Amino acid sequence: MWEVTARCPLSCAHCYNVWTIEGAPTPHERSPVQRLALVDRLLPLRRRLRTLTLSGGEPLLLDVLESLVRRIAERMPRVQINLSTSGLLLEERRAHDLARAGVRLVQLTLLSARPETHDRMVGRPGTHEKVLAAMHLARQAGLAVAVYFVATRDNIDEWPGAARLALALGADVLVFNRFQPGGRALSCWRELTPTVVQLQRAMEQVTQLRRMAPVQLGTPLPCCEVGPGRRQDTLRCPIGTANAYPTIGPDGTLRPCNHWPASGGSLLARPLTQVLRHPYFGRPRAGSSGALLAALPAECASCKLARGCGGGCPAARCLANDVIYGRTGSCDDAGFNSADSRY
Amino acid sequence: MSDRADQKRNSRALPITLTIVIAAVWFNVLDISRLLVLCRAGSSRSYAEAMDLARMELQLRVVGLKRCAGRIGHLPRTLAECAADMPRFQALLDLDGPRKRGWQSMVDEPWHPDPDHKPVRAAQGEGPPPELDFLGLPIRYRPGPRPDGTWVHSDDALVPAVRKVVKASGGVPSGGGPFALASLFLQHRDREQRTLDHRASSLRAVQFGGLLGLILAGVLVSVRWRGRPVRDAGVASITLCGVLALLVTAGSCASLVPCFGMVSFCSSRSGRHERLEILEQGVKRGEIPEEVARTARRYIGELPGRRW
Repeated sequence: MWEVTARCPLSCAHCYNVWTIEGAPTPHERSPVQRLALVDRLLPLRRRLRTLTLSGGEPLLLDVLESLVRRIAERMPRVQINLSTSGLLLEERRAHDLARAGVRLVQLTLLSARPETHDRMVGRPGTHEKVLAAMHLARQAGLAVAVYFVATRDNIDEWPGAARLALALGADVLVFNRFQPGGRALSCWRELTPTVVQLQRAMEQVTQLRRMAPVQLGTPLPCCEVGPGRRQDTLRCPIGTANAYPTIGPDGTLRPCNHWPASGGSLLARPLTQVLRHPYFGRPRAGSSGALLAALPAECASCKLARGCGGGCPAARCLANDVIYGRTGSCDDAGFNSADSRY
Repeated sequence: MSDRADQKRNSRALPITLTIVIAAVWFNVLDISRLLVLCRAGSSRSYAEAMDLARMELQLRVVGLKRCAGRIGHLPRTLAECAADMPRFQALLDLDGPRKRGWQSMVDEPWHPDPDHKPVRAAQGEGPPPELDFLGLPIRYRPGPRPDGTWVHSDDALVPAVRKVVKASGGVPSGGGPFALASLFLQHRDREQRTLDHRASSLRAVQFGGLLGLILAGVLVSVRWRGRPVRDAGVASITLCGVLALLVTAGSCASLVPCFGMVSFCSSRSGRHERLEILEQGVKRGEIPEEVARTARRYIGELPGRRW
């Protein structure tokens, strides 16, 4: 993933971007020339890299986005280029330009089928209508569309409606993301985090929706939250595995994932191969800074399933001070305990 | 937000297309094999043709009539034609007694297991006189380095021919009585035909059984397949593969009926109707507001479709 800019016209309460953490410095954005140079820095990965998602902030705020996409497509023709956008700035001509430049898939976030819910969550009226229009334009331009739903306590009950609306508008894939503490949301993560009961109800709806279309889960979910008999939906954090998605920040630094605030080094200062030697990017080892990523939360210490489950998102766990998701108490409410061997 | 969408798999068009291709290849390969078997059985049904081929091969390549043909300027129809210039053939013609006895027994008392079996001449129609037909010569043969007790033993030139016919026919008749090479061919033909008929019917069963299994497996895999939805290119490839498979398999205008059916099916699944249905479900459940649905309906009317 590449966060090409930190600028964004929205102010989502659930935003996870690391530079939106209260008190965090605004990243120094790189010039167009430096961004093009960054593409060349990625060349050692061109055979292993399958997809590169251009994200933000709002990547469509970059005037040079098309040339950046074209450069990536030229240098790494086997890499699928995705664009993660709010859709607010997507116009017909730009959609076609991006498709011609090499973008294959557009990732849009739809938080509800109800405009008032969506607009309230992103902090800007009229955004819902723009998202629907962006889906339409992307499809017309021949781009695949992935619709992301970020489930907070406010909107998780509106997930089926958002999913049906997205499918009706031609979404190729739906991604269900449970809200993760991070970024701006650290100030109110308790209010935003869905309860275990809410989440399990949503997971049942995921099962029903999968009869109609592909629905993927996008965030690490521990088994005690996804519910009994749904071990296949337990998602372990992919950091340290082949499925990891290191993230380049707007300042050119490389982080283990888009949720993790600390970087392993700047790609403009050091070659990629050297940056990748940082403990963040290898298999976590005891005593190294990478071990923090693999550490389990305290409440999972005695859980038999912890090894396969991983205890959810380590970044969110660290950022939210190791007590997250309301797992304490909620697990017991839902009928789970650490000795449960039903999974 | 993670990047899980990047790890999406191919659409359901892949297993459907693969199923059609594999099923079509399976059906056609088995069908061609069966037709080849039937063709062989059919050719062996032509008794006269088989006999002609055998005679041609034996007489030209083994017995030495090719040399005779070179001398007399044309392919000899009887041994007598060669005997005039080549004394070695005279020995065959001098075998009057045994030859007549042998022929008489074949005409009067057919020993072929088929009760409707007619003597070689009758079945063969036109041809050389029976007493001069090499294949009609009654012979005895015991396997070994040198045939013993054959009535044609006096001419060594015939020994390799007899051996070859016996070998090709799968062995000498039990009982050790006199037999004609033609009868050996006849028996061999019947045996081969029965085997081929049986093999053809087995192939037919395997062909349709396998086809059914492949389709069932394809349906099961396709139903359980998780991947990105089928797009226009996917539907086009399914339709194209289906049409080609039907044309290749059926090879007639009748195949256009299921072709049209398939295209119609694909068109009906082209998404617009289905997407509207999904939308209306959402509206009916109160999940999607009417004003949003109105916008969505407008977009659905303009967009190329998402597939199931």
